[in-house]
This record gives sequence, structure tokens and C-alpha cells, in this order.
Amino acid sequence: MHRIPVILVAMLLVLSTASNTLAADKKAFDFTLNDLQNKQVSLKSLLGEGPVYIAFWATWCKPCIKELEIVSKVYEDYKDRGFQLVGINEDAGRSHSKVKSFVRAKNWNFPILLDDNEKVKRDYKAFGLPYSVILDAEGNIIHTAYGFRAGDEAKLKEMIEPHLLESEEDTSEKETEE
Amino acid sequence: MRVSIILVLVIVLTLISLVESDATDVTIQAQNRLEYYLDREADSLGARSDSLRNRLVVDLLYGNFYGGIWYEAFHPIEKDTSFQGITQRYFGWTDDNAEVRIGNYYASFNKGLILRSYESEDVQIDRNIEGIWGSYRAEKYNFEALTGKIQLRDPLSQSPLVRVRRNDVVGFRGEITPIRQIRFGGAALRYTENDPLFGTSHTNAQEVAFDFTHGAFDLYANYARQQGTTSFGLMRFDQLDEGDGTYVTAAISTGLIGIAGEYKNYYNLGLDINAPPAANHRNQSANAFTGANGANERGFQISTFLAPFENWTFEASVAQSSERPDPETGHAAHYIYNNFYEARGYIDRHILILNYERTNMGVEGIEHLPYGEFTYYIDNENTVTMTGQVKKYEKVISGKPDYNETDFSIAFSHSYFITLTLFGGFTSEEFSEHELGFPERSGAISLNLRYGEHDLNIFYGDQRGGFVCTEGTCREVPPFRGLKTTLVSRF
Repeated sequence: MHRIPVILVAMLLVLSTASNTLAADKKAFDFTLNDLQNKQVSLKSLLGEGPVYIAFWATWCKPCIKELEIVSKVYEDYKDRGFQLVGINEDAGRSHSKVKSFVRAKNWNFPILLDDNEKVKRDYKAFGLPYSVILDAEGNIIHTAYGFRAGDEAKLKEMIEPHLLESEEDTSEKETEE
Repeated sequence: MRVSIILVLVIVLTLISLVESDATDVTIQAQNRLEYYLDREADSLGARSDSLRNRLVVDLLYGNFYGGIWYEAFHPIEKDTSFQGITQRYFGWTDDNAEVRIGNYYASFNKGLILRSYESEDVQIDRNIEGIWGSYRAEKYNFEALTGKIQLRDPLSQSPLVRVRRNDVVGFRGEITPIRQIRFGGAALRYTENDPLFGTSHTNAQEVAFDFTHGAFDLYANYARQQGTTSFGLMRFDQLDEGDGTYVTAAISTGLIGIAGEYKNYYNLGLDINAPPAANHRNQSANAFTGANGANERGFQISTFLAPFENWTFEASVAQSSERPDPETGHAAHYIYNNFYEARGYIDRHILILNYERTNMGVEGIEHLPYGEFTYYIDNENTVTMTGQVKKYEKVISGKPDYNETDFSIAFSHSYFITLTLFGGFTSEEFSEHELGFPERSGAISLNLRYGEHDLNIFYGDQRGGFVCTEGTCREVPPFRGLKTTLVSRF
């Protein structure tokens, strides 16, 4: 039994070495879910402008709520540059009414989608919460992460920056240089 | 074990070569989660001292087609429940409107009154179905059909980890959305139990659902009924047995205040494959201690959310559930009253969370749990989070004196890279010689490291046991003392 961890660590090293090859082309699973107003929203409809931050969350998941509170501020700062934030709710069999009341009290102004049978959660291999996936505008996976801590938003801004649309300031600076 | 690892390596190397051969069309996504526990108390119980669990999930996408496998190795402390091998495999086709999947899958109809096939490691449930599942979705309607054999715990085994797949399920669900604000739905299910001792029996279940959403208003109603043999583990009642269930939610919510109500009334709705909503903050059924899934109880929950100030929200939730009284004695054996209150907000940019939860579980006792959490930003990237809670138990079932459990922690975190947490605690609980005890004073250290797509957690020390609940079903998790290592890698 004691040899097993050693063998598994070796196996993971092989997997890690292989990961660069495997990560060459990681297209995200497409999905269509209902939002809180019964409107169907697909992943495709969110793509095309800038990076997309998909946060899997539930009302019972305290770190998830902290994550969305913090990332929603990033969203407010960067939405004009194409940044999209979408919360995929995993309360599943619980009350959607509660989700709706909760979201309204939080004043979250980004799409909240209801993953009723947790299919999207499984497609994205979110075996725990909070779980987040960052996509580029073409729907390729840039980054995935379990957990969220206050302060993570600093690194998040660094990661999405190359994928954002140019700000008006950048555009006017370029025009001035030309 | 060695053979299984070689098999995994062969799979990975095959996938790599596949990607290299045609990188433009094929996408491969994989995730590996390795958990290794070294329990320093286990030896004294005469069990194995360490346990290991590994799950590798590999998915392959090729145009509209996809396929995948789950490869799992599990060597728990209980030696007779070890297993390793491919636990799930699937192949499917999907486009914007339709999807067909062959192999293993999970499915739920509406709120789970007649079908909820799900997985929860917390409560050691994995009800995946092996068969065929298909769906079609358009703007105004969607349909779903499925057939297959569902995986359930083996009632003949003492271990929850020994599972069998001999019962069949066939189901259909349809939904119409005449206008965006209104949805009507219905579903039907036939569940066939193929029991080696009692033979074959059938249960039929049907449900209707209605959903109205407009502006600040929301209403959902779900009614289900079932006819057929009911089984609870080894106990079985071989007569036609009817049951029904109602689940209703309603809410009104504005930016300032939101009120949501839930009502449930289930009678004999136990199907082994369903999980009606528990309708309380803990997601716990009144009869969770009996291992049932809340299929025979009624109750309500009322939740209120307030946002009177820009950076502050307040929540209050009151819930009561009780088992349906015995028709002969009029006595309800189990009940749960759960109240939850929370305030959370920002002081400058620092985060403060305060909450209090009181749960009365009848003969199981009463729990009081005040909790506080404060997160301080040292700068943009570095934070310190402090937590503290005092859990007070009254009138517990074993008849032991009331006691407290006090826990506190302090965590330092650097943006997306490292979190170091120190835990401390003490308890006034007195343990009998038959219980797995816990030290009066305890401590632990936890390190989280994130590097690229890899998350590593190393925990060493003492961790209290407790009650975890998912989908109304609960499990008592024993205390742990030792080393835990978890590595999650995504490729």
C-alpha cells in the first residue's frame, strides 16, 4: 500500500508532462440553459467579444458567493471591454425562487443560468464548488480553478487582460501616435 | 494496482498520439484527482492506516461527437471495498438542439420528485444510469427520454461503497413554453426492481410541473404520484402501494427585499431513485437519520433577503419539516426545525460575514452555531481571513451532557497561488469508550498551492467529524487525525 502514493505521483508527473500537448486545443463544451426569466441562453451567444468567466455556484456555497461578489466588481470594471461573467447555479433540486430572490438582493447584473440536472457541471468536470472556467472570445479554455480567495481577482485581471477589447483610452492613444 | 496504472498510462499516451495526429479537429480534456489519507488513529482500530482514491476523467470531442471514460481506483480503510477500473464510459452526439448519449449518464426530472440520478461523495451516493439518454430542445418546447440500469447501493452489503446495477428505469419528460413567462411540463417513469430475493416488481410514477416567472414574481408547482411496490433497503412491502408529493415555491423579489417560500408534502414517495427537495437551509430531511430521502414528510421554508444598504445584505430563513405521522399511532418520529440568520457586507473593501444557525432535530438534539468571518486586504494580492465559531449541542441522542465545540482559523492567501491556514479548536464533549474520540484541544495546518492547472492541498492535524447533507440525505462523517493530500490536475 505504501508504494501506491509513489507510483501515483510518478503517474501524475507523466500526466503533467503530457499536459502541454493535451492542452493544445481545449474547446469548451457548448450549452444552452434557462436564465432566471426563463430565457434560453447559450454559450455561443456569450462568445465573440471578450473573455468569458463561468462561475459554478450555489446559494449554500459560501466561498462561491464571495467569489461572485468580488468577480462581479471586476465585471463592472471590464464589461465595456467585452468581459462576460456568467453564473451557473447548481442549487439543482432546491428552490429557484430562492435563487432569484438571492440574486436580486445581491444586485448581480450578469446572467445567472440554472443547471437543473447538473449536466453542464459534469461536462465541465466541476466535481466541487466553487469552480471557475475562463474562456477566450472563441470559446477556448484559458484557465480553470477550484476555490476562490479574496485577492485572486488581482491575478484574474492579469489573465483576462490580453483577451479584452481595447479600451477607449488605448484607441485614442494609438490614434494620437499615428 | 500496477496493472491499472499501466492501463491509465496507455490511455493517456494513446490520447496524446491521437491529438498529435490530428490536432485541429480533436479536443481532449482530462482531469485527475488524487486523494491520499494517512489516518494515525486507524491502526488502533485494527484497520489499514492509509487510504487512497484516484479519479481520472478523460473526454474527447470531435466535431459534434464526444466520448469519455472515468477511471477510478479506490482503496479505503475497509479492505473488502477496494476497487479499481473503468467506472463510467460514454459516447454521444450533440448539436444546438439535440443530444443523444449512450453509456453512463445522470438525469433528473424537474425537482427530483420522481427521478434524481446524481452523485455525491459526501453522502456516498452514485446513482448513475447505464443506457441511452436523448433530448431535444427548441425555443418553445423540450423533450427528454431515457432508459437504462441504475446503480444503487447493494442492500445486502454493510458497506455503502458496494453497489449493484440490476434495476431498470425508463422515463420521458416533456415541457412546453407557450410564452416565455410560463412553462408546463410533465414526466412519466417506470422503475423495475429485479431483486434476487423477492423477484421482479414495477413502480410507475408520473408528475406535472408548472412554472410562472414575470418580473419580480415567481411561482413553481410540482405534483407527482407513484403506484407500485415500495422498498426500503431489505424491507419490502409486496403490495400495490400508492404515494404522492407536492412541491410549491413562490417568491417576490425586488432589489431591496426578496421573500421566497417553499412548501413540501410527500407521502410514500420513496423510489430509491428520487430525491424530493428537503426545503431547509441545511438541505436535510427530517428522517435523514434513517437513511431515507425525505419521501414521507411535509414542511416549509420561508427565506427573506434584504439589501437596505449598497454593500450589505441580510438573510433570514425559517424552516420546519416533520415526518408524516404514523396512521395508526399518529406519532411523527422525526422532525427538524432550522433557523438561519446572516449579515454580510463590506467595510471599505474588507469583507465581514456574521451568521447564526439553530437546528432542532428532535431526539437527535439541538445545535446552535454562531459563526464569524473577516477578510482583510493587506494589498491587492494578499489577504488574511479569520474565522471563528462556537457550536453548542444540547440534548443529544446519546444522553451525554451538553457540550461546546469551538473552532477558529487564520488564513493567509496570495492571489491565485498559495493559501496557508492554521486551525485551532477545543471541545468540552465527553466521549464514551465506544466512541471514536477527539482531543480536548486540537490543531491543524493546511497548505493550498495552485500552479497552472494543478491544485495541491496538504492538510495535517485534527479534523472534527460532522453531519453532511446532500439532496436531503445525510451522512455522519467520522473525525480524522492525520495527513490528507489532494492533488487535482486538469489537462
